[in-house]
Amino acid sequence: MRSAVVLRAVLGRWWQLVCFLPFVIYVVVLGGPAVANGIAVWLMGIAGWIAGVFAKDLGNWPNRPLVPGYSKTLFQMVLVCLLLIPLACGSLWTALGNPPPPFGPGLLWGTIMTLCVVRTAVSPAVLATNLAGIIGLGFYLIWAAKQAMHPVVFESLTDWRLQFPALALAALALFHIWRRLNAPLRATTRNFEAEGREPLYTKLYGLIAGLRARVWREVVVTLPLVALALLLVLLVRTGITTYHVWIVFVLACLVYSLARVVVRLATIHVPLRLLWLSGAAETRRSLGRECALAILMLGFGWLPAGLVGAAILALGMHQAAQFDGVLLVAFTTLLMIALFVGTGRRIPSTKGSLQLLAVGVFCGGLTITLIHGIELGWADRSAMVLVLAGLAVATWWAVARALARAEIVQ
Amino acid sequence: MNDVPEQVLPMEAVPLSIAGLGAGYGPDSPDVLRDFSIELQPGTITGLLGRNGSGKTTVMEVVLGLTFAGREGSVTMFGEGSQPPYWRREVSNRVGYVPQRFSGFGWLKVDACLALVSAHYDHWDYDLADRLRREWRLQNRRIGELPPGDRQKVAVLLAIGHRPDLLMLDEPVSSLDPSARRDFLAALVELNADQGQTVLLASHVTSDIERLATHIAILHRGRIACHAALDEIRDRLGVATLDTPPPLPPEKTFASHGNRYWIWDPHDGCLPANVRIEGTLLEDLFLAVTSK
Repeated sequence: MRSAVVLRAVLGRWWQLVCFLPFVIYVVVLGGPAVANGIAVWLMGIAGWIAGVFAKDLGNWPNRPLVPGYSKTLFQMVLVCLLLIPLACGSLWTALGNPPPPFGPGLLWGTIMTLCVVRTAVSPAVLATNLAGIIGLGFYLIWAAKQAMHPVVFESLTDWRLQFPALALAALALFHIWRRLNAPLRATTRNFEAEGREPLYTKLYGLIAGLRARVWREVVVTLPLVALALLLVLLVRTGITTYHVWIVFVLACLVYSLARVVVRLATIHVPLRLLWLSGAAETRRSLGRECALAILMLGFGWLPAGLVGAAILALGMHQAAQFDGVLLVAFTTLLMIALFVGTGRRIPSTKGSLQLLAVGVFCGGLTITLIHGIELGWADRSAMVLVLAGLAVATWWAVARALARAEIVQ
Repeated sequence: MNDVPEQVLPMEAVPLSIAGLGAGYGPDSPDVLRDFSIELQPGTITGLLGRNGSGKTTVMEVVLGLTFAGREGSVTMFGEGSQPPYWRREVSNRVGYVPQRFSGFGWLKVDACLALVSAHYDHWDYDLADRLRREWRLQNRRIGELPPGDRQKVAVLLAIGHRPDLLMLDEPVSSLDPSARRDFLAALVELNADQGQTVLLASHVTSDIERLATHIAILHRGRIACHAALDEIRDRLGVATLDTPPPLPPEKTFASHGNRYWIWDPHDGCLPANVRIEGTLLEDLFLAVTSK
């Protein structure tokens, strides 16, 4: 009976499945056998994201720990999403005469997505950025198929030396999901009195004022990306071209940072308001300039890891590859700011699904356009100029929106 | 459901006993609760009064294990202590809680939400839930689309559907319209009369508490400043109509409301003023205690 009611609850979000459908069809139709492993992992990411959203929404209820067995039901639902889908797809895949799919990396990717969604605050911005991350990976797969990339990356996903450690890490992630689902919804409350004692400098959380603290924090936060870079260096030694590894790394950085960046951008009007009220910024113009700098800095928040990764991986990279990478970085920054503009304003919860759907279509449209643009040779200097111009316009737009939300009118 | 398991915990056990509870948010923050102690007897309805931010919600959340703010002290529910109560299925089946603000299940319809939660309890009173739904005219719409008052009604249904022996309500009627408030309070009285349910009701509406509660507890500065049966308070609290205030020692409070006067002693509580009982007393008592 519990399974039935949970299934009934899950099917209430049919629009999320519909949202993914065009991209699944696109990848399946346009992808090829070379990226089959990647597609399997990508599907697991989608399954994990959906499981996380369901678990978060069904668990976002203060009484959750009080209802007997409720957290256990949520965890079972997560397991069903994460295990049944790969088992079914993998069995079918293997039955067609193919080698076993990459269960380990797929499950790891799915559990990480679930954990990310379960741990973060549910908001359209967070959900949208998660969605963008998944679409980014899909973009990579399509791009890899179109560019006829060396298949070693995907073949290595089924290597047992990778499968077993990935399965162990996935089990660890599942344990954290279990603990999270059993923990109280509100572990602590904001301590307004202590916050009131903090100086204004600290209140601005180093966004604009504390550059050094912010850089150090970014270094710490992006340590996993540095670890990924080192892993990729090991992969380079197996024969994969440096260019492909670098692209993998850039995409990982972008997916990793998207959620953090957009969420921070969505709240940037709060320190702006504090700056304005405290008199730290004398004119609206100066405040707008600082805001633009902060937005751009946030847009490149993964820069420390990017620099480390680039320093490790850039040796021997072709100039055209560098150009593609820079274009990708600029484009994704534009995407992040556009997401902020699109999701920054609070929209009534009843419109959340439409908003998410719109963002999904927006990201998908841009992704497909860029893919075909690269395929048709648009990725030249004029494309770079266009993207940078779009970046400037979007930044200006984001500043105007942030100042308006901070109610700074003169 | 007919397969109701045998209750493991004794019915006659004290539903809730809190001793020396201290709580606060964050290591350097001041205590929200300090040496908070109270014991609820079975079948009583205790109204918990306190000013904004006095810790009423914290008490309930710490007791139910919904927050980690607890620092010291002990909590015993139905004779079971030492662990968060939600780990024991026997305890969870006997406790209901209505939070101050209901959140979650935004996309679920009311029916689906009730079905989802009811499936987890050993026994669920479908008749009670259906009857209250009809009386409250609760439509089967998505919960995220319901107005706040209707959402609170759903929270109430989810909390009382399994007929808990201990019901904790954190300002449950603050967002209800007068009609729904009356219906809810009537249902509460009915539940209490039917099965001797023990209720802890936190509210700012003293008239509701005065109408429902058998006991009053006033929370002030992190601890219980006054806890007694409402009848006892009525007996001890006097309201006088005097021409001039009597002389009082400095530690005692002389309070007035219009042309009525009464006395509050910090050690002995409300002193009898040797006069007749009339009008609303609880609000005056609350103001006297919390103004210290």
